[in-house]
Parts: sequence; structure tokens; C-alpha cells
Amino acid sequence: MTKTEYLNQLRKYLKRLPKADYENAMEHFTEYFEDVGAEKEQKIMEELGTPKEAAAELLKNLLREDLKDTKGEEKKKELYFEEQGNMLDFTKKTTGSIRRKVWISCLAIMAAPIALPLALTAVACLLVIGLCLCCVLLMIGALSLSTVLISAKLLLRGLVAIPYSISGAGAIIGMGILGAGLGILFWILAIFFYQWTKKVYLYFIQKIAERKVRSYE
Amino acid sequence: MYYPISALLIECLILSVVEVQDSYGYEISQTVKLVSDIKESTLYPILRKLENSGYLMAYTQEFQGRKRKYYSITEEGKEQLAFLKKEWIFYRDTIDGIINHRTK
Repeated sequence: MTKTEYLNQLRKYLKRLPKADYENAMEHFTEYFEDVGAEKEQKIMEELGTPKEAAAELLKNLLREDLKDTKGEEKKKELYFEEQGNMLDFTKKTTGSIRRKVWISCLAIMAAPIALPLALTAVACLLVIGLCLCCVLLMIGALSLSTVLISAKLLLRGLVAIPYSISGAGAIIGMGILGAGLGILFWILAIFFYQWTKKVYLYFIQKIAERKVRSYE
Repeated sequence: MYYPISALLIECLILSVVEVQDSYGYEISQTVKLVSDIKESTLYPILRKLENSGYLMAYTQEFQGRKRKYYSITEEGKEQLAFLKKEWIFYRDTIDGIINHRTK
């Protein structure tokens, strides 16, 4: 394999990285090959292994160093607070970096030298769990909506019944208001559930990726 | 070399190389490889992390008609290196002490 072929194949595996990481990595390896010189090229390619192996190793180590990098996170926090000073915006940005880590974890899992079916199964499981969580969320949301609708109808019925029986109307209106309250509570529950599961889900993916990465050391 | 080197110690080595004079990827890699047969796919992420943490700063410079990425150490990098050196000396001396039966 020639240097150019090797680099092109490596490029193929690294292309899914976030743009900055991808460009920096390719730049580093291209320069590395150039500095090594034509005679040692083969030796370097042997040392690195196949482009696929080199990419897997690279992704695994990028993830590992990223997870260890607490100083970099602090720095980003400092810089961010200097510029914006807004907590809400910052939490959005950190989920961005969590998303990046999760993405690199997925890439690392896919590139790891385990059987392809196993990797696909792992990703499929993650997706299915995600779907289940979405269903539960939808369910709570639907519950909340239906409760509110029923309560609205009860309220109307109660109002209409006032001329016939004050106590009866009172009871129905009361149930309507109770239902509306419950509906709103369910909605708040749905919001909390969403935020909580999102955090737990991403945390889980990170842990799995970490363990997969550690099992190769 | 018989004993493996941890990634943390490699950080110390990288910073040491760059402390005296700015250096580029291949040169840093060659020095580190004197003492560890680490793969480039392992070394590069460490370099990247040092840059992200603010201990290294990278810039491009022309060399013999092509571009090359050079790394230089930052003020924070120098502080970190001082810390890492201190830790290394303590580590090395303790091990030496045990090997030479000076410590219990």
C-alpha cells in the first residue's frame, strides 16, 4: 500500500468525526508520513496496522483523553463566562460537548475490533431503549392532555347545570378544576421525565463506551 | 524498554521536549519513542489533549516548501510541567529507595 492509499483509507474512517477533530488528525498524520521519509513509510504503516485498526486506535484514544480532560472543560467554562456570563446558554453548550463525546463513543464502538453483528446489536439496543423512553414520554403527555380535555368538558357541563342545581353544579365544576390541576401536574411530570431520562441516557452511553474502551487495554 | 510508560508520564515528556524549543509532531514522537514504543495513534490524542487543556499552543510554519505544525509551551504548560516534574522526581526516588533497600 502506498502512503496516499493509506491516508485515503484512513480519511474514510475518520470522516465521521467532528470537522475540527477530523482535520487536525488528518493534518497530523499527513505531516507525520511526510516527515518520516519515503524509506520508512512501510515500517510506519506496519506499526500503525491497517487503516481501520489505526482509526479504531485513534478514536479509542481520542475518547479516552477527552474523558480525562477536566482542565479543558474548565477552560471552556471560564472563556464562556467571560464572554456571555449566562448560565442557561452554558448548559446548552455543555450538552453540545456531551453530545460530541457520545458521538465519538459511538464511533469508537463501531470501529472497535469486535464482530460487526455485536456492534450493530449494541447500537440497536440503545436505539430501542431510546424509543421505549420516548413512548413513555408520549404516554404521560397524552395522559396530561386527555385529563385537561375531560376537565374542560366537566367545567362546561357544570356551568350549564347551575340553573338546575347549585350543589350539583358545584360538584361538577369542582371535579373539572381538580382534573385541570391534575392535567397540569402530569404535564410538569412529563417535562421533568424528559430532562431526567435525557441525562441518564447520555450518561449510560458514556459509561458503556468507557467500559468497552477499557476492555481493550 | 522493559517497563511501560503511562499516558501521564508521556504528557510530562512532551512538555519537556517543547519547553526548551518549539517542536513538531514527528520530532516529539521520535523523542518519546526513545523510551516507549507507543503508537502514533496513541500519541497524537495525548498531544491534542495537551493543546485543548491550554498547555500547548500550535502554529503552522513553512519548512522546505511545505507547511508544518509546530507546538510551543504556554505559561500554564510551564506550571503544569513543573508540577509533573515534581511528581516524577518523587515517584522515581521512592521506587529507587525501595529497590535499593533505603525505604520500607
